[in-house]
Amino acid sequence: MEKRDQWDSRFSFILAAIGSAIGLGNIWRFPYICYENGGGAFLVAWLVALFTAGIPLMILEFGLGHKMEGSASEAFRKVNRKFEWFGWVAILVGFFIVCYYAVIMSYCFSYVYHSLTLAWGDDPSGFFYQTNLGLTESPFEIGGIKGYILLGLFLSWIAIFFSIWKGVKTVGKVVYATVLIPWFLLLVFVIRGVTLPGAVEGLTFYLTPDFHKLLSHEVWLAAYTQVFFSLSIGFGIMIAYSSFLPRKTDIVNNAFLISLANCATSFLAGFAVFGALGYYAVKVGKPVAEVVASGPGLAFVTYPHIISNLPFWQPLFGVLFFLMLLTLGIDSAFSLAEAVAAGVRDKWKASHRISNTAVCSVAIIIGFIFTTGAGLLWLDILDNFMNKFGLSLVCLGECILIGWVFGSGKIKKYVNGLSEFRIGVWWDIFIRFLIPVILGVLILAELLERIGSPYGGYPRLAEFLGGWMMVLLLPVLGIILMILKRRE
Amino acid sequence: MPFSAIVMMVVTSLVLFGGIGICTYMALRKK
Repeated sequence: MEKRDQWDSRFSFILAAIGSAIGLGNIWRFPYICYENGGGAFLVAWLVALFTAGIPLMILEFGLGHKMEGSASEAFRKVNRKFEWFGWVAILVGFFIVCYYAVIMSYCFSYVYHSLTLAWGDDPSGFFYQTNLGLTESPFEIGGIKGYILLGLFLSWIAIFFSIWKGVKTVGKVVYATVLIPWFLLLVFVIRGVTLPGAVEGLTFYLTPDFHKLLSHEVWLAAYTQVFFSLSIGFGIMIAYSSFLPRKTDIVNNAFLISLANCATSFLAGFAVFGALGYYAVKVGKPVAEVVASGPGLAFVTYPHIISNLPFWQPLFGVLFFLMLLTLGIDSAFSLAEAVAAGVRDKWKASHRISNTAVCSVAIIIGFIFTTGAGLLWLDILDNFMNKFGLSLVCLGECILIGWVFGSGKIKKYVNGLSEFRIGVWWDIFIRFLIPVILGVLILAELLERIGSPYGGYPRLAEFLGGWMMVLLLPVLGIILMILKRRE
Repeated sequence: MPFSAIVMMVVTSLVLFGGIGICTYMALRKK
């Protein structure tokens, strides 16, 4: 039997898992969510969510992957042959996400270049949406493929392909650059952000607690949602990554360290973002509340505004900022691709070269749709449905299948046998009761909202094709992949 | 910046970075 790949060292594994968890969301989602949900008070809810849901789920995925020595599909097949399809669903959620994630990286590629000349001029919004994307009015008005976004997409996939060239052997080396460089750059932006005049205005917005908001269930749901989205759980990545660990390792310590490092990065990112927003607000004479933004709007519209208004070295800070986004995104992207490739290798005993080529080729073809004029609209719909339904349903399924059907006690016993810090009955309670209830509420709330009105005001047909249909495709494709004959 | 904001900043930093410090110490000690 061929020996399973193994990480070079525990440090490589920790860096790879941190790199996977840390992504664009840490920069452009967390600070905004924090500000919107009570500032400093949100931090309380967020830390509670981290310790009661994020870390327990991380321990579950690490324990499952390590015990079963397989990718998500293989691990669930070893739990019970009938559950293999569910492992494929987790992998497929990650696969659909990486199809558009690579396109966002392509935007970053083009903005590294545009930063050299501050090409957005006085109108970053028009430059991003019209000149750069050629954004159309409706998802059905496809428009043409944008050549340089397509070029950026190819560059992204070439980078991903070579990062997973020999599986975790290569990943373990690449992550030294793709984790340490963005951390260093983030530190540069934190220092730059908090030393700008007016930064305190922004930081006051970010951190001033409104404790009354802790009485609102919406703040708690936002905190749990942020934790679920941010830790790269539910995509089969952590299951696959931990399956490559040596037999003797500390599961609980790894889970705590990786989760805390991810959250510390988000927290620090808030200083860089809100420091810069405070400076910009003072500069243009507007309240911080009027300039605050999140998502691609923050990165590609608001931040270019801020970069243009910096007192010196604007092109340098522009290049460094988009390089930071690029390096933050790439390890999340290749971890998603590696989770799929590992599933293909486990099922069909394919070589690294064949599995990687197959995964990257199919993903790049699907990615074409996101390089068109309507690409950002389809990306937005798919992103919402994959996260709000795909990811949430996978996490819920994991809690039910492992917590109730397989028995959380078996994973707990296995994990405690390896770890210095032992998990107690609290872990069973979180996995079997608390997390499923919270996820159930989240899914139900989103379902009711979507029944009431289509996501983002898009036409119902577009919402169905880009959202509901893709979610429904997950179990169908999962079952097809399960039925396909495996190579022993 | 209000005092409450500074308190939240310090407490969150202590939990996150203190936690990272403890986990790293435990990992290195075991090594």
